[in-house]
Amino acid sequence: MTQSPVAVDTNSHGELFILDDALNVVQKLKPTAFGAAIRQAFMLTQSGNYKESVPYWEEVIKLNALFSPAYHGLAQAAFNEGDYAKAIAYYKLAGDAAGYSDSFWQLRLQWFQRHFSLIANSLLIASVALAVALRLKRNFRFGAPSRPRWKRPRQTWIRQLRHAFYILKHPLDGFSDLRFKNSGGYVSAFLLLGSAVLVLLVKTYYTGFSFNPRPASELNGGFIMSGFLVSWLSWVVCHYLIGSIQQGEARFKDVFVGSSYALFPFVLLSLPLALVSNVLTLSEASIYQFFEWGAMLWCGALFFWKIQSLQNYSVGETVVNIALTLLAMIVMWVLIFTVFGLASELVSFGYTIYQEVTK
Amino acid sequence: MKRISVPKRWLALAAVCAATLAALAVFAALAANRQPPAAPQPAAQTAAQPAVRQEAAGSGVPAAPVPDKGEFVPVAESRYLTLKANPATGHFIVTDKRSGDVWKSYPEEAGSRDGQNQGKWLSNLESPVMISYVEFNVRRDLAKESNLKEGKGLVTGFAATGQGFQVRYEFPELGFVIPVEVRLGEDYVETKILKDGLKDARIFTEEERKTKKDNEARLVSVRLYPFLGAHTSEQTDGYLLLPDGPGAIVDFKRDRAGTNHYYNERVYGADWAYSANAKFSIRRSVRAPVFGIKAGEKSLLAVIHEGAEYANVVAAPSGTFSPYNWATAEQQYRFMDYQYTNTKKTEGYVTFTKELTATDRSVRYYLIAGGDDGYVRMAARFRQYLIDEVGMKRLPAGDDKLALQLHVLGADAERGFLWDSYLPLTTTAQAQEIVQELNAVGVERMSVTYLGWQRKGYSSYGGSFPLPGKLGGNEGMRQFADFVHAKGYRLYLDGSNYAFNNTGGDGFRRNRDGLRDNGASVISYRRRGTDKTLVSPRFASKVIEKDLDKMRALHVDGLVFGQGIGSLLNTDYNDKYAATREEAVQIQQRMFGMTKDALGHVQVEDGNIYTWKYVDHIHGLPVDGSGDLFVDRQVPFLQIALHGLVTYSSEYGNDSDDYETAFLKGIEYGAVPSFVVTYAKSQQLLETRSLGQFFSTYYKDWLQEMAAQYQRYDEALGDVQQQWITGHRALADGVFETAYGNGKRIVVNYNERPYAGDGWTVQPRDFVVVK
Repeated sequence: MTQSPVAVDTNSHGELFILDDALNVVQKLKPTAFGAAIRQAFMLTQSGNYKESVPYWEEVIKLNALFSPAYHGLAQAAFNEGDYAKAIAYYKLAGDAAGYSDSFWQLRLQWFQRHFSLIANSLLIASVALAVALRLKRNFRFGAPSRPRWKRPRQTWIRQLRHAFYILKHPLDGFSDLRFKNSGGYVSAFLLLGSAVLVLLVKTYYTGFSFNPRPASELNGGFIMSGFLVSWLSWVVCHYLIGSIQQGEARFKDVFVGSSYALFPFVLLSLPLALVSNVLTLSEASIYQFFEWGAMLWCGALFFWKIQSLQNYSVGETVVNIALTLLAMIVMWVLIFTVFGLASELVSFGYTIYQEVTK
Repeated sequence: MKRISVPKRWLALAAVCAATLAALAVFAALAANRQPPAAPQPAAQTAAQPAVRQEAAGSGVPAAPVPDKGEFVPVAESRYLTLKANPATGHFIVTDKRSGDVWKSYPEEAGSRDGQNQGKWLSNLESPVMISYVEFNVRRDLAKESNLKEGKGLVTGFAATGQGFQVRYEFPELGFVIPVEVRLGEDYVETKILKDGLKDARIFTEEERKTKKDNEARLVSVRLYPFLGAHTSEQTDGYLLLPDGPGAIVDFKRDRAGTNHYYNERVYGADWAYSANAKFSIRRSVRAPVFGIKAGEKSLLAVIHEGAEYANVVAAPSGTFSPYNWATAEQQYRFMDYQYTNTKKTEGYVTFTKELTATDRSVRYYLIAGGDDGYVRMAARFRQYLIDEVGMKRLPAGDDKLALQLHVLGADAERGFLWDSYLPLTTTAQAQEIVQELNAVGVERMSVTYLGWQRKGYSSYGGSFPLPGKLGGNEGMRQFADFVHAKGYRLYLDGSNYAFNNTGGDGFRRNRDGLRDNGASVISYRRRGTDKTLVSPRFASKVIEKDLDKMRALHVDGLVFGQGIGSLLNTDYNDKYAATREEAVQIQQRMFGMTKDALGHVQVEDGNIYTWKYVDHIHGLPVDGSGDLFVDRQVPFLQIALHGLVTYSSEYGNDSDDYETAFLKGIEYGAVPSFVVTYAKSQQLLETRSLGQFFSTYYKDWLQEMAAQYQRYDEALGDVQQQWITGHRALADGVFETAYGNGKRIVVNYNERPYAGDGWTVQPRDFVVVK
């Protein structure tokens, strides 16, 4: 309708005037009922008259149920009223993590206040019971017959899985044991990898809304999963290749198994973190991020020690190895994209010929 | 070397500078003198010169274009008209015996200015036929325009037939022969380009090839008598009526901003077999091949009678190409085609089709006399045409209650993590509840249409049966149909999904049964998150035939067609199911006829004129045009013509950009209200694949509004369902009055201030019934 608008202005009725210098016209636009309702509601919300804005926002929702600023306005009004349950539902619809977190904080506070006596009493009883149990254990330890020792499980892979805990406490020794004491195998590696993928998916879909304010329909779990697996696999391959050039001592099995064991802190910490995030608010964001980053850093450190121990490098050599591995990954991916591009051209060429011939 | 003394050095330098400056000044003066003289002032031409023409033959450039050779001899007479023709040019003059109005096949001289047209357009204005052709050996992507005078054409074979005359326009250099027949009907004159005798190419003999180069010129389009009824804006008041939206009026205006106002639209929309880019056009398609000219007190309604599917409506107001306001039908014989050269469809070239699409093409010009309300009379004549020629019938006398059109969204696919799941939005039991609640608030009559009833929901096409259990299954739909019948209403199912396929159901194989374009690639497209392939019309016809039995078992009253069946019209290049555009019209009509015979009723959404005779309701009848700036106003031409023959509705009352205006427009245009609802809350629409396009469908949000609108519509229009609209005019800026055959008048006020009439007042943004 306009070719080159050069000036815009409004009047007190909310009418919009647009000057177009190519067409030599002034166009007058009037707000529709929908537009007028939005304007009225916004003005009231901005000036803090939340209660008065509610009927206007509700009119907007009725006319267009998919207009998220309206839900935001209604959420603010509900929050202001103290109706936090309604506010949290509206904030979720509006996609506002901060608002959701604030409402959740209020609801949680209310919950604590309601159940304070119950919580306090159960904590008290629990601590007393624990103290008593410890004392009894101490008293009874010498007289009690020794419990039968935990039978060593026959299955190797269960033993190998338990080795993951050992690695957490003694990384360098633990990784060496992977190779020399056969404390790690392909089965357990795959299981750990599988659980890492599972935890990643749980984290994507079940993290609390305050920390992950995206609607479920927008998340693409398949994409995240495949992205993670592809990155991990390319790391493993490149690292093995670079290591073998750089006088490393690890076999492919060691690199594969070690890399999957190094993911264990992520598995261990992220799962409870994702579940706990549902009861946290953004005020506790520092705690959440601490654990999130902690898991990542721990994994990173384990990767470092894995390289160091399995390849038998010094610290400096490990750093160089990591840099070269990253470089190799870039080179490998450039190569893959090039080959893929050429191959797809070839395929579409062949398909075109096939279509021409069979038409 | 002897050194020049210092003062002498400076003198020499000064002399050189002075000489250079003088030379520059001389050159500048010479250059200024060489500028072209200023353009002659137009002051001398302000006075219009309506000189008489006949004796200006051969004396330089005549003041206005007109056939300048010979006399007009009477050739035919009918009940209301007489026809006179000029054998030397093939031009004619038709006179209305009832009123004395005269219409000429060449532009009206009165009001055109001397020297205003030069060159090409002057010869265009003088010619009875304009052609365009493509020279395949020179440039196969460009169509050149020409006309009889410029192409050194000949007028041969003039012969008076009993009812008119025949003449041939020949272009010897290009080898084109255009046989024309002009025939007088009772109150119309029909100009026809015949199929027999049409030559579109020149066959070069061997000797000719040696001396001349064969450019391979081929005929692309013909405009016959393009300036029939063309008037300037100088002396006549009037307007052009164009088929854009409900009807677009382009006034005769002397001063109009801008100079590139041009209307050129293909009848029934673009043919996707040739123009792939047209998929993204947001312009309104021409649904009825009509246009009109009103000049002074007389009007002309033109209807493209034969060959409408291959025609364009072309029009321009004064000041764009010429001082004339003109509108005409352009008959296409070859089509511009974008040929893709790779399967990804990213590269290609423009060319024209090689084969000639030749059929009889005719345009009927109905003469209408007298009156201020040109478009209302034109619409009334068009209504008569719809009854006589198209086969529509008047609505049976009802019981003064109009039916609310209720569209119910059944279900769609929900986007999920790994695959889609089925999300029901309104089961048949819930639909029953909605109908009952509507009855409770006072909506006494309605017509229910179920959308998204197919096996996998709204976004799936193909394999529609059996109905899914989560929706209620076949049994649930049958019960709902019986429930609806018990109340005296009708139940329709959405039938437009038969035009597409994306599941492979019904035995559809993309490469075998898909609609193919000229480049032999299957036409499919992504829209609103779903991928769908267009189905060959003949294949779709067979599928509908099979499914009609199943529909009958469900006790359904009819189908609602639209989109690929009734709206989109494409040539099919599928080897197995080939169909020209003309045959596609017949196939679509067969689908409508089949459904009406089997189930009893059929509706269409935004359908073309050839579907109108089968339907009893038209959805999506446009109330808005395409937004051209040269269109001065929209008038309800289609609505006036159709009221009383079918019921019609525009956009949904709850899915509109401007609810108030949509309601008022519906009242003004004589429509019935229509709504789209779901039982589920509107927020659930976001999770679906393609229903996020609807703004707000939760029926509880709209119950009160539906009841209120229904009451007001019923009060205004309930008792005129069967009446013709006999008048429509603007009482003031933003106040419109619609008059019906039984004397009822409805005045609608779009302004913010009340309007006072003769003993009645209309409130702002409201309407009033004036008896």
